[in-house]
Amino acid sequence: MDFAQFYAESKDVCLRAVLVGVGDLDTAQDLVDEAFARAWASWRKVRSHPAPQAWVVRVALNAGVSAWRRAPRERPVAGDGMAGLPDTAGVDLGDGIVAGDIMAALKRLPLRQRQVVAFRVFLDMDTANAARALGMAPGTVRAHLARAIATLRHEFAIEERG
Amino acid sequence: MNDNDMVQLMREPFEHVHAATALSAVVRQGRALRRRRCLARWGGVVTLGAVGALAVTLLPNGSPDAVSLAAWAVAERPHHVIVVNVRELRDPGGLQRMLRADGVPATVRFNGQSPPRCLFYPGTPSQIFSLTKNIFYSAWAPNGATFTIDTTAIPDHVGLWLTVSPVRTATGNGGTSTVSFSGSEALVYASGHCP
Repeated sequence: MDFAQFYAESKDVCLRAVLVGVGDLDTAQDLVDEAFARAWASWRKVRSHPAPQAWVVRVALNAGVSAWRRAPRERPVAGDGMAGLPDTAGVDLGDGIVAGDIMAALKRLPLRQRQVVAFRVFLDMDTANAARALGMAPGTVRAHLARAIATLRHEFAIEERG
Repeated sequence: MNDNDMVQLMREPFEHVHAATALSAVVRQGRALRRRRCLARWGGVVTLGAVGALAVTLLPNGSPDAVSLAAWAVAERPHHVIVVNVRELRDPGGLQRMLRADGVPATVRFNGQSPPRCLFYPGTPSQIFSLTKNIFYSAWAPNGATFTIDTTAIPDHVGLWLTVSPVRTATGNGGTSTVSFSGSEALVYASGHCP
C-alpha cells in the first residue's frame, strides 16, 4: 500500500479516534496531521507495522499528552461538549438521545477509558491488539471498555440487554 | 441495548467528522520533518569532526601541521537553510560578510563580546522564544559551534546576533586539553543599529 492510499483510507477514522482522546477538534486535527507527517517520513517502517492506523493514533495521542505536560496552562478549558465540531450535535439518535450528549459524555470519561474507546471502538481493534497498542494487559482493556459502556448506560438510563 | 449497540451509539455522532487536511499538506510537513532529521545527522557529524580535529591539534606531542581546517564554514542546504560551523575563533568579520552576502542579516562576534551598538529586538519572552525557535534548529547544535538557520523564518527587520566563545577543559598532568565552543544567539534589529 502506498502512503496516499493509506492516508485516504485512514485519515477520518484516525481523526475520530484522536478526537475522542483529546476532546477538541482543532487539537485533534493538528495532532493527526503531525502523526501522519511522521508516518510519511518513516513510511517504510510504518508500512510494515502490524496496525499502521494504531501507530498513527498512538503517536498523535502521545504527542498530545507531551504537549499538555510541556504547557499545562495552554490546555483547553474543559467544556461540556467537544469543541469545534460540525453542526450535528443536535441530531437525535433515537430514544431521546442527542449526538452532542454522547460526545459530551465521552469527553467526561477518564483518560485511559477514552484511549481504550479510541482503539476498541473507533479503530475497531480487538482486545489483544488494542492492549498491545496501549501497553496494557488485555484484562485492563476489557475493564476500561466495560466501565465506559456502563457509564454511558447509567447516564442515559439505557437498559442492558442480551 | 447490548454492548454492540452501545458501541454503535458511540460511533454515530462522529460520522460527520472528516479530516480537513489535504494529502499534499501532510506530505509537505513530512518532508520538512525528514529534512530536519537529515540536518540533525549532518550537523552532528560536522560538529563531532570539528571537535575531534581541534583535540588533535592541541595535543602537545601531536603533529598540528597535519591538520589544516578553515576557521569556520558556511554551507547552504536545501530549502534556504544555512549551516554555520565554527572551528576556530578567527575572522568573525569575514564570517559576518559571508552570511550577509548569503542574505542572512547576521552580526558575528567571538569571545563572548556583547553586541556593541545593537538594539535587541523587542518582544515578550514567549514571542522571542517562538521566533528564535523557528529560525534556529536548536536540536542539532549540542555544543553551540554549529548554527543551523532557516532563512525563510527570519522576519523583516530582525537581525541575528551570533557569538561564540571557547570552553577549555584541562585534563591531568599530560598537558592534554580539549576545546569546545559555546555559542549563543539573540535577535536584534536587522540594520541601522548594528555595525
